[in-house]
Amino acid sequence: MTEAVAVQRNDTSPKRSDIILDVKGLKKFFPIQKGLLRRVVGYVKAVDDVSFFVREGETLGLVGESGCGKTTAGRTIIRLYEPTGGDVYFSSRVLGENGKPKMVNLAQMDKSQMKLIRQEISMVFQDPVNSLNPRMTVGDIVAEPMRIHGKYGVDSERVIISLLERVGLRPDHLRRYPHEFSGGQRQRIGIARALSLNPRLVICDEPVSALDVSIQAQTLNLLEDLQNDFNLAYIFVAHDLSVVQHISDRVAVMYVGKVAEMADSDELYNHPLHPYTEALMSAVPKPDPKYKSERIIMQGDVADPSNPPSGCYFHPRCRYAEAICKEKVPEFRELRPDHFVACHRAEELTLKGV
Amino acid sequence: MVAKAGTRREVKAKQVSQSYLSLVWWKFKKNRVAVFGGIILILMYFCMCIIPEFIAPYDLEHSTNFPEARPQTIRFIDAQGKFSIQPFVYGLDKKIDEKLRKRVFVENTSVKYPISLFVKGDKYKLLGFIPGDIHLFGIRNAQKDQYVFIMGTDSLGRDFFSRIIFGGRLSLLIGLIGQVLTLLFGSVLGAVSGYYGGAVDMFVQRFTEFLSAFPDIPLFMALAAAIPKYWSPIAVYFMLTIILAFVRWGGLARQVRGLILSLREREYVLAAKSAGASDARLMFQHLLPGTVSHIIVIATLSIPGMILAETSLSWLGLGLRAPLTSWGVLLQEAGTVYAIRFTPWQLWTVIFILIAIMAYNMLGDGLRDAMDPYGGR
Repeated sequence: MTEAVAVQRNDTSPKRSDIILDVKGLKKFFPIQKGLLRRVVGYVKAVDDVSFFVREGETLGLVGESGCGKTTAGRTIIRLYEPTGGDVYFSSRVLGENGKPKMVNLAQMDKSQMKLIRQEISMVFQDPVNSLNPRMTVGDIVAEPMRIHGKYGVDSERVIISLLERVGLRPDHLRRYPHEFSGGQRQRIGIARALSLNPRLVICDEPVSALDVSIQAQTLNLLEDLQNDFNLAYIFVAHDLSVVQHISDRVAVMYVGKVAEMADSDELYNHPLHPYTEALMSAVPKPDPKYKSERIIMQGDVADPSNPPSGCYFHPRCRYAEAICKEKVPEFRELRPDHFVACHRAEELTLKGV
Repeated sequence: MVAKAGTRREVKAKQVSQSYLSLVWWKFKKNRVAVFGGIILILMYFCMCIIPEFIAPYDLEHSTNFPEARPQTIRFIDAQGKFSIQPFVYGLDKKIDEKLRKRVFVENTSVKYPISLFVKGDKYKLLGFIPGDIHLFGIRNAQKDQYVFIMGTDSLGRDFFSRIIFGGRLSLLIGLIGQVLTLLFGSVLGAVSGYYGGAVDMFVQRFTEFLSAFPDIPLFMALAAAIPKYWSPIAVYFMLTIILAFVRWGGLARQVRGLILSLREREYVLAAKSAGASDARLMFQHLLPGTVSHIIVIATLSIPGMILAETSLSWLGLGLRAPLTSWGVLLQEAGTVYAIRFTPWQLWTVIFILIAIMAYNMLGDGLRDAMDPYGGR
């Protein structure tokens, strides 16, 4: 099934013109406050100059270690956090004229306009227990976005029931409460909620990392089916590389608030250009017991985002680091077509993929 | 046919699905101690706050010729060994105790007053407007100087049981009304403080710290002394309630703030936010419902503190004063060496206070366990 999907995607090779979301130099710094007067003594640079784009109907995987800012990036795009800097361009149908989409900058948008945009971008959350209000029935949870946007009408219940059926739940689940469901079912409820306003972009914030493996597969397949049915674009935040490889068309690798590398999924997994990507790839488990892995054990810890190292943030742990890496921040550039990387030595190095 | 299937499905769904409240009730019911506490409280509030005039055999200010009479024993078997199914008390005779040089009352075994239920007595108005003269128990067709004092009398010859019942009205209500005021102050300020954060949060938190750093008793004394002497007793009563609430809202505000802070980061709140929910919707649909259970538990567990505060203030002479009658006022009358030596039955008040407070604690503990029905399953 996945093969068929892949073939179909290759046929409609996306062009630059159908970019739905274009993030440019996005920054989110959290102030560190100290003392009685809450003096700002520094910033945690959770998202530090991040750029990537998503095309219509495709999945962009956002991977990285915990604390690298992937979740924050996702939440800043939809303005759950106010961006510190940068631009987020979104091609909006709601704000466009005659059904033609219009590029708007979410980072500069006022609250009332942003509310309109929220119909087009929705989120699926990580924790299936915490992401559903325990006091509300499934019907109310799925209907909430409709109610917020004043779109709940007489036949909305029918719409919600068909949505529940679409994500694999039963109509009589409508009046039940979240605690009556298993983790996988709850995540399906969360997905139904995300789809209730027919969005075009769904930000999935580690949607399967809290589920066990068999349920993960079901949920991923559901997300893929829904993508085909509704032509959804996904930003898929995850730390599980095999999950990301399975679902993503393109992948962006983040390290300490910055994007290290972004490319087509296969390209990135087979021909990484960034040493950090190489190290990550070497950690992917192989389903072959005879395979002798050559894991790259990285030195030291993840850099502190409130006090990052000079130059390339990865240089203290990089086995290819040279003098220039300590001094200059590498530029995020398109080295091969559609393959972006932020590494001074990307041209000269030959790195090993999966 | 289709419609039929639909309705049947709905009925089925109703049977299996349990809302949060029904889960709480289900779990609460299983806790016998808590249910017992709840029943005791309902009984106390019903008897003392709604129908005290009916429960008490005599009016609050009904003075008799039997000052400082000791409680009469309720008997079924008389001096001749004759048993009667109807309980009775012996009449009282005045006597001078030579050793104590004091007038005392002794039981006269030749005069029997049978105790009956639903007898006519002092006229009253229930809740201020329902007239009646039937009392729960007493002596039918009582003549002059025929009384039943199951808990003795005070120095003016007033039935002490009746006074405890009437005193409970003020003491129990001050806990309840004061707590409602505390809840209003505390939860509104706590919620605002937690939700908006920043300067508002800073101001509210420093103010609560200031209040809680202030020693309680001197603050009570100062505020109570500020109540003008010429105010009517009822005005004093309400003023005291407000003072108690004012001093005590800080702790609750802090807890509500903490809850709101933690709920604010829950993913379901973020989900609503990401869908574009307004502040009001977040507050009333997602945040406050999550705190209500906690608030109810805190409130239940701190009402006893309110009741005790009233009692101790009145006992110190800072709170309610006669002619108002509360448990604190009754204890103040009992708080002399003379009273403890000669009229120890005035300490019956303590038993009632203990029962009320223990019942609240039982109820509160049970509610606390029940309010988290998802845990431990």
